[in-house]
Amino acid sequence: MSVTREEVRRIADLARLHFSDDEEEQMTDELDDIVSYVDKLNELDTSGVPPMSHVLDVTDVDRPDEVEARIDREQALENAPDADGSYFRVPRVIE
Amino acid sequence: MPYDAYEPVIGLEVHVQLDTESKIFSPDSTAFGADPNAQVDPVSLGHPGTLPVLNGRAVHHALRLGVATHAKISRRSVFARKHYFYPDLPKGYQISQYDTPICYDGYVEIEREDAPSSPDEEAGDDADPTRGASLKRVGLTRIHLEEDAGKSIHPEADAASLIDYNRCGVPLVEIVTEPDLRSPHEAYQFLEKLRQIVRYLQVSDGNMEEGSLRCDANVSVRPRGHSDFGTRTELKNLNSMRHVEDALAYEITRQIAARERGASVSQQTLLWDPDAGVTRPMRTKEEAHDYRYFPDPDLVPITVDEDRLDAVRASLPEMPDARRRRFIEDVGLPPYDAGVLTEEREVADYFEETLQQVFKRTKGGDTQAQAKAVSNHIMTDVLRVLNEDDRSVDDLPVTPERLAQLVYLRLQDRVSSSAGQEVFERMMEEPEKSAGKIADEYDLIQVSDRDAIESVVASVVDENEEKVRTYLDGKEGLLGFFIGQVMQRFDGSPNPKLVRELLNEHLERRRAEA
Repeated sequence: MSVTREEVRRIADLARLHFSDDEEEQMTDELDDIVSYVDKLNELDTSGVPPMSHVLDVTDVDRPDEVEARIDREQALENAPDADGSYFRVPRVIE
Repeated sequence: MPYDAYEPVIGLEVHVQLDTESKIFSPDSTAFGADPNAQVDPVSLGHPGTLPVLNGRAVHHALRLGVATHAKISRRSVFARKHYFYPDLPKGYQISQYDTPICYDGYVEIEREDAPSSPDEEAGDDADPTRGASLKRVGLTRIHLEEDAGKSIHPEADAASLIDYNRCGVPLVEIVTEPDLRSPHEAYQFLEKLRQIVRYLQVSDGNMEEGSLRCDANVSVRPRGHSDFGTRTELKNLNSMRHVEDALAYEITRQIAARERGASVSQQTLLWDPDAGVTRPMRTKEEAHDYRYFPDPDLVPITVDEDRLDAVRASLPEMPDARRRRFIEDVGLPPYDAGVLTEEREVADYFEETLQQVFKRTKGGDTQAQAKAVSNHIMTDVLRVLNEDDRSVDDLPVTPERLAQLVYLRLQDRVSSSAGQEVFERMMEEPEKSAGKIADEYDLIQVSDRDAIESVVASVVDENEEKVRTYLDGKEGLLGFFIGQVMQRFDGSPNPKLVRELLNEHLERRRAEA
């Protein structure tokens, strides 16, 4: 198993990350290490073993359907880079 | 090839907003119409370090919908993160379900339009003896739980887009159908049926205009008789049932025309423009989607064992098809009445409550006629008022108890059918008065006292010797004159049926004497 520069570029693009050439190379090496490490699993026959979706052996945690206003609008907009008192303002999405 | 030589193949993706007080993973309110960003929470805003906690009622709703649509229920299902970047999705991923939808392999039945036209469409034929036409099963591939995104607006005069996160985190189910629909009208019927089901279950108000029910459609055409699919397009911006039907009809014609020209249909997403009545390619650049789904480590699996499933089954109301069948077979209503009365659960409840109240008064007799009398009043008076005033049957001043009083008056022939309508109108205005009191006060009780009517009939016949002779000579149109005379002279409203009957009797007696 080896990770290519091409794959790193694609994943970075999907994650909206920008790497310099050096970073890209470093990232390729590190990802390759990780994938090779996980690749060890292929030595075992895991057919018939259901994929683990959660590390804890816990299921069905839910809460009753009750409303609680934990923050108001002012607090919600407080941390926004840009807001107009009612709405979050973001760079225009469509032309 | 003519239009008919092609067969459309349609599949729908429907998002239904679940009726809960709070959001699916946080306790902020879901109420419609609040000020922008007034109903948000650190979780729905995707603040770092916050953790989602699942709303139990949303799961219950999804399970109820699954059971009601004959779906299989996943014993164990997990949430997955679906990654994409858009400002209305603050976390950068939507919590959804991927390879383990909570329900799968269900179906909804609609009325079949015509005979199966291709071999792959024969599954699920099931004749309903009470409906005449056969039913068609529309397969549901999956029903999964997910969270809604926020809403963005793009004001003309602003260089920015504005985001309102109130809707962010509102619980949804996404329902994906098999490509089983064969015409725009079938798609319409399916949506109407689905809407009826979610409303009966009270899992959603199913309001398309307010966005509680949203629909995208995939459509392709193929030469009739072929079993492979043509290239499909995806239609968006279908904001009403009518839009769905219109957009599909337009798009099918467009695809057929393209094929007839020898051009190809390209796979793309199109927006329906209801004003121009055309579909247009979406302006955003089409990038191949790679959502990088993976199980969300912040949420634990949902498991459903037999006990939980039993509890869900026990919580289901009688569904519309079963209820309609019962109204026909057990209650004895004509199929048309049964269909109208079961369209909305509240109206069907209102009918049944009224009928029980009528039974209390009649204590037996022709129950089928009694049911029909209740049905007539609901279909002519109650539904008319509901439509005119756009109100719910639950806050009608004429309660089932009061409507039963009126129906009972009619069944006893104490008010005529036109007087019955007047009583109903006045009952709407005067909610504190019983039907009997209103009929009394406004002099609408019809007299069925045979002797009282007969004495007036006798005197009218006696006092109009000449007219009687003309009548007996063959001018039978004069009967109307006699009826009018009796009605006029009578103190009160005589039962017209009785007046006619007695007049006939007396006039014929004269004939015998002559």
